[in-house]
Amino acid sequence: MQRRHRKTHAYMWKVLAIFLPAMLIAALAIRQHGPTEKSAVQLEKPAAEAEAPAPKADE
Amino acid sequence: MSVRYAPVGWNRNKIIYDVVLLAAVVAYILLYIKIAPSFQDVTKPTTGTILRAQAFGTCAFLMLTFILCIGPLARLDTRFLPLLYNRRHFGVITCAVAFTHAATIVSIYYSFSPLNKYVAVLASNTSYDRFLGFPFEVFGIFALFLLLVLAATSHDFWLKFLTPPIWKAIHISVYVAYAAIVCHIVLGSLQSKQSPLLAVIVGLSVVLVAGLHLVAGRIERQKDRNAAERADEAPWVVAGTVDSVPDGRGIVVPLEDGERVAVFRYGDKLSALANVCAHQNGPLGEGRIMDGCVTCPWHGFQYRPEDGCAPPPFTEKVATYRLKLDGRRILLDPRPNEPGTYVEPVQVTEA
Amino acid sequence: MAGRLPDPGFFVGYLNSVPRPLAIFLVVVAAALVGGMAGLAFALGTNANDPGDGTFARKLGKQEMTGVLLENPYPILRVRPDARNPEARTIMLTVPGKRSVKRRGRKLFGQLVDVKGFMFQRGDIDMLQVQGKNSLKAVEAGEDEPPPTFTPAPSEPLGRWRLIGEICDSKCHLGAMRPGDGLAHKACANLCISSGAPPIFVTQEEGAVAGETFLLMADQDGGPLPGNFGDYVAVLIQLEGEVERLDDLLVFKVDIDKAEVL
Repeated sequence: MQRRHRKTHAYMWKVLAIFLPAMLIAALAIRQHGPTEKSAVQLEKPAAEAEAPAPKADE
Repeated sequence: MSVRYAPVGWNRNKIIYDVVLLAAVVAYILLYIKIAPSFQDVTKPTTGTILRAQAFGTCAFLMLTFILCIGPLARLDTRFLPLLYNRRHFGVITCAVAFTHAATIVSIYYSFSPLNKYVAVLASNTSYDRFLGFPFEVFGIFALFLLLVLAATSHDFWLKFLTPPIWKAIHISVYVAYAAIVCHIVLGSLQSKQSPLLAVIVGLSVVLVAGLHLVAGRIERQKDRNAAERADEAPWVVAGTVDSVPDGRGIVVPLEDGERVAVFRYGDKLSALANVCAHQNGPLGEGRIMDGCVTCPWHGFQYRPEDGCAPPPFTEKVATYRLKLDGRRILLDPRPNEPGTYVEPVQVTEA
Repeated sequence: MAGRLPDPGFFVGYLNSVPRPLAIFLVVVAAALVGGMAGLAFALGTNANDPGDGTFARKLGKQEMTGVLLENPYPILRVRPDARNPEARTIMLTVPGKRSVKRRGRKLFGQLVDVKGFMFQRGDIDMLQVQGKNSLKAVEAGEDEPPPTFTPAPSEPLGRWRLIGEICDSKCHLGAMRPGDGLAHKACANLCISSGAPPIFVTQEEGAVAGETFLLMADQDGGPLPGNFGDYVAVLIQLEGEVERLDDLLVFKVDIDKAEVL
């Protein structure tokens, strides 16, 4: 009597031997890392500050 | 093994097995939640409930990794067979540990809101359209479901009730559960970890389990390729020589169709049975003769060599095969008889 | 199936005796299993991320504050300076569990209220968990006294910013649990936010915006963030929007649909 499921077993393990490491590698690849540039950049100053004239040097 | 279905057929070896297992689990959990926090480099400690969930979750993964190594290890080195003997207890305890992890997670992450906590488990994260942030919880839920089914059907009652082919098909899903757990970890906890340790442990576990299976599989395939050569007279094949079968032991003869036959010697007699134990497909040919019976190396099921029947009151049967001698060569008829068919043993005369 | 002892080296589970060489091997395996699990427990257990210093500050005792209760973008209290709280501050509000204070405060928004509860604190941001009897009620005028009033300071615009950080639920992140961020916590964060916990933006860099790390989120009009933005929670994103200051609380007004997952 053929050892039942031997072929299923073998097939499953060939698939898992590829799938499991691939899953781990993919998950590590998508991991987020810190930003390469500054994480806070002021794009525009507030309107009031932008309108106010720059202070003179002797003030 | 039992004729009546007691919950567990306890014996000394099972008790020792379970004690060692529980010691390992208790040591793991206590070290994780009581000792390790004192050595963490943190501003404030992790919340106790989350720490417990982490402890039980990682413990369950490591236990399942070990369980899956037992099968191939036992093929590579028969000294690991005792680990296989009570593996189902190992599985049930693993399921209990995994269930504790899940219950703890639900009790903290999904409780205290207006939404029913079990609905919340599925409804809180629905980012199914992306890899990063994918609801890794569903892999955990699926794996837990499989483990619960396996634990619930682990008793021999289910083996008989469902019939061995169906039971085995259900229990092969332990591999699917393992894959689901790996997905659960790598898409969940692994994404948040700053240290590479968890990734290394998961990676090593995967390599170990897959690697052992592939190595053991390769050796089995090699055995299958060395199918018994045909004798001059069809349909007989050459099983081996009388001298290659030690008294009280057997040899395994691979056939061309992938089947294997166990040829046993007991005293001055030779008999041939299917190599596949009717219980859980253990390799009978790797067993021994005890009390005049072929004894399976996995769980100790026994069969009379001349008719393949388990001694009363047990009812298991395996197929038998015809043998004849050609000088010192043992010839085997590869056509199996119905399980339980009596075949006159071949008499061996000393050379 | 009891019987004679098996051949040396052959294990039969239901027989008590185990061949000696095999027994020694199994003792080694058992020791390795227990020892190995203990070692792994220690390694994994000590290998924790720092979950930060978010705290449920019960030890500080029940706090009492008076201020204007506002609904938008999320229930906040513009605290009136007094003897108990000398400095003007704006504090987020919550109630026990994963729920919003909106239900309790629905008839009180825009009014001066007395609030009692316990604090969640983390770094430069805090939150009051309103709890207990009579813990949220309108301030009553004394006899023959005019009704008390308080006009909070206007918001101070800080310009338009591009920030990198993570959307967290304020309650967990400020100390309801540790850790209260990261992908493993995403589902809990989504559940908290959808149940009423104010979402906060935690900048990747500490003190990134005017020395502050945590910003209360709002939509571009200053109301709550619309709809289901769960896809952007607990992952590192880049987002642009106006930042304004309400006393000591920064508010980040964004178009959440323009968030970019990094």
